[in-house]
Amino acid sequence: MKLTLMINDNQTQVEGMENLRLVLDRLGHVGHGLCHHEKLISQARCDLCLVKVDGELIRSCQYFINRDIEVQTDDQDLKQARIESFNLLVKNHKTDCEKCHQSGLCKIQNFARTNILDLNSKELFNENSDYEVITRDYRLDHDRCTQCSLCVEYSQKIEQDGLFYHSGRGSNSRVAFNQTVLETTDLAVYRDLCPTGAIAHKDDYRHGERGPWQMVTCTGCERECQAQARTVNKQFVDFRMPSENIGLSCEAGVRWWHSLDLARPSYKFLAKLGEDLMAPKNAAEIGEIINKNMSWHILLPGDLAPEEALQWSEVLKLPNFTASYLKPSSDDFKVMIGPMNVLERRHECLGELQVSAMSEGFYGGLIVVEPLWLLKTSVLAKLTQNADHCVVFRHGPIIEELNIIQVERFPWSYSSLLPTRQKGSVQGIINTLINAEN
Amino acid sequence: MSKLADFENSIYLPFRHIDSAHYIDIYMRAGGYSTLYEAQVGDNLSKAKIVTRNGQLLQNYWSRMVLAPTKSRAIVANLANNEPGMYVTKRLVSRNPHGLIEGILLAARATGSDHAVIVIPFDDKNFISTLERAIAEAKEEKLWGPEALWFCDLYLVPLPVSSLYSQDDFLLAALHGQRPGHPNRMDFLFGEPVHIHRAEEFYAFSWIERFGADAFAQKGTLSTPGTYLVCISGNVSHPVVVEAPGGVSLAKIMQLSGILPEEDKGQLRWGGVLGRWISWQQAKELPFELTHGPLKLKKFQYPVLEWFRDENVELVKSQIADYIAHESCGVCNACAMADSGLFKWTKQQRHTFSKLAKCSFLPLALEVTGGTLR
Repeated sequence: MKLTLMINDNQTQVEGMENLRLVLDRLGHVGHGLCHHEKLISQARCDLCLVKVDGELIRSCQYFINRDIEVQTDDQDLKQARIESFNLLVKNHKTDCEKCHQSGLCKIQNFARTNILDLNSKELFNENSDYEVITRDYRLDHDRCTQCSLCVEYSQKIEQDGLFYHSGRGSNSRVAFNQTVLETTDLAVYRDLCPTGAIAHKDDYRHGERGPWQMVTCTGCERECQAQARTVNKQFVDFRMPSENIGLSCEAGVRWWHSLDLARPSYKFLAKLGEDLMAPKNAAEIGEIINKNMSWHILLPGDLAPEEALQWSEVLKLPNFTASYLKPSSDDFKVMIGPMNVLERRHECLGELQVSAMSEGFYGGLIVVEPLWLLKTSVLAKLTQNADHCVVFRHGPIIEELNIIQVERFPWSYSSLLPTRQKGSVQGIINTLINAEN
Repeated sequence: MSKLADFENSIYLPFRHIDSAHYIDIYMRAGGYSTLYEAQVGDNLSKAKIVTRNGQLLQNYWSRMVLAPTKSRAIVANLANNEPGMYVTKRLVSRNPHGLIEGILLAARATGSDHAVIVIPFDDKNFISTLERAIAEAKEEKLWGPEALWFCDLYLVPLPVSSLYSQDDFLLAALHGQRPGHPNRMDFLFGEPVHIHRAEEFYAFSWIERFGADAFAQKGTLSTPGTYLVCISGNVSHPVVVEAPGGVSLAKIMQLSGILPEEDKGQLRWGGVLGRWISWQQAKELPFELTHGPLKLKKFQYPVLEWFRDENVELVKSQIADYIAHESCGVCNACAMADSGLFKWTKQQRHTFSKLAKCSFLPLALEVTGGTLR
């Protein structure tokens, strides 16, 4: 049954019993409601999607069209009513918007910007806010929760995992979660669902930004463990694997997943090992052991992330830098169960550069970028025996037997190594090496 | 020599002068449960004219749903007593639990219910254990259960205080294991039509069954037949519960209770925290009529008469917002944020939120707090 809908004097035809909010969205009338989901009948918590139907104030998300109606989406009364609802919504909401990981994606923030409201962003970011750790680094921040009920409704009606529920009543009402079902629940779904970022991964806070999520399934070996990595801006956030396949996971696979976020790698000097076993503290100290303008040869692994490879390719454009691939063989590596096809895929990033084949013995300086599976100490020693100076970018711990500069190359997911945000880059390290004497 | 119950002078508290009437042998010896052995059990009750939920007469309330006679029904006794002035429930049931069970069984018989649920706050262990014992005693006497004269199962359901409401649909949602409040509004209990009553109504049921519907009606007026329990509280020297007949003036009720407010001063609140405010000067001549007029109870109101001195009225009103914020279901932001905003809302805001309200709680709160400044 077709019904006539008059939206701001524009006539359109809709099917009977369609949800008004969905119709308005489809026709390009962008509303501001934040508690609505296409799979759910809205709980009408936010009162921001108000419209006038035949002159009467209603919530569009709860209205199902059953007759010919006239809809007004914007006038002074509506604006005033929305702002009144908004003021209640943010009464106890944190207002550190500019420092919030949700900034730019937050529906509350969008509303404030559109309606030119002062959100009073002067409040300092407080790590000790009222949050609970749900599990696996996911948090539920009650200071940001507007009780929109989306997570509760989605949990009870779509996922049916019984994870989220409301507790308390009145002003003590808050979203709570059921600990017993956490292990079998995909929390990232709820993280994406939350319109204000109240449910977030701790990496959201650390990255300070929140891009679209991507899911990548591991094709590293023939074990078919179906491990999946969730990434945001190619940075590793969450690792998931079907529980029945856990026995299939391989060490290399896990390491590979852990390093998916090498797109933005960080480096730090671990140690200059030798007589004093001290790491170089500054460029001058490095200059003591490295000659300026010496020629450097770089051994690159095949498993570089594309953006990391791009950074190295910039380095290789410098006149005194050459590079070759570090090809794995069964003798050279501790673990050979590795994602071989990934290796091949990532070679393409350095395709335009002339990279010579690896040959034994180097004179001058040598930079070794360790693959994600660790090089044996003997192999490292063999590689570096003829080099005047050697810098190893490696994942693992310090190799105390080697008298070389070791630079730690660690992914973001190693949170224990990352008390604060690191801003190291390949270029920074190279600049340090080149300008050591300056 | 054992005493007999004083049915002549009291409808609700006939066993008040009998020690240990909470034990079934003493209760039965004093005349309790005798109605269950009558030939036509429930006949008198089905003709009763007692005012029950929201000013409705019992017959109207029970017949509000037209359903097939084979449909199973349930009776619910709501023992919520966490609201101010609800102390009558606990006092009544603790002293005389068998009076409650007798009333429930009679109501079940009169309505054809085969289930009866007693809902009780789960944190009051003594209260629960008293009722558990009484229910077990009644079962042992074959008053209910598989060997009883008619089928009716009794359940005692302790609920957390946060799920206990005097509001029917909220209570039913809690019994289904759902969060009370919007949108979980229910009229049925697991698909069965259900009749919900306060505790004191069941005590009246057994009296009506014993002496007839007409005898009960003669105690009051045509519009408010019978007598009713009223809590008297506020700035009074000693809060009491009185049994007041319909039609009598509020001044008379206060006088009979031994509490005499100062002449023509102060304010009266009728119906609990979200009740109606009336100046004592106007209220004292009002007749005690529950089916119409200013004393008709609305949703979220219960029979409590509170008298406050003029100097305390503003203080009491200012606490209503906290009560609303604390006691509402918390689903709508307007209620949940009431403690911080309710008294600051402009007329326009009140109008908007009143129109958007999903239940009668918020409009009632806005009506109560209208024109009051904190």
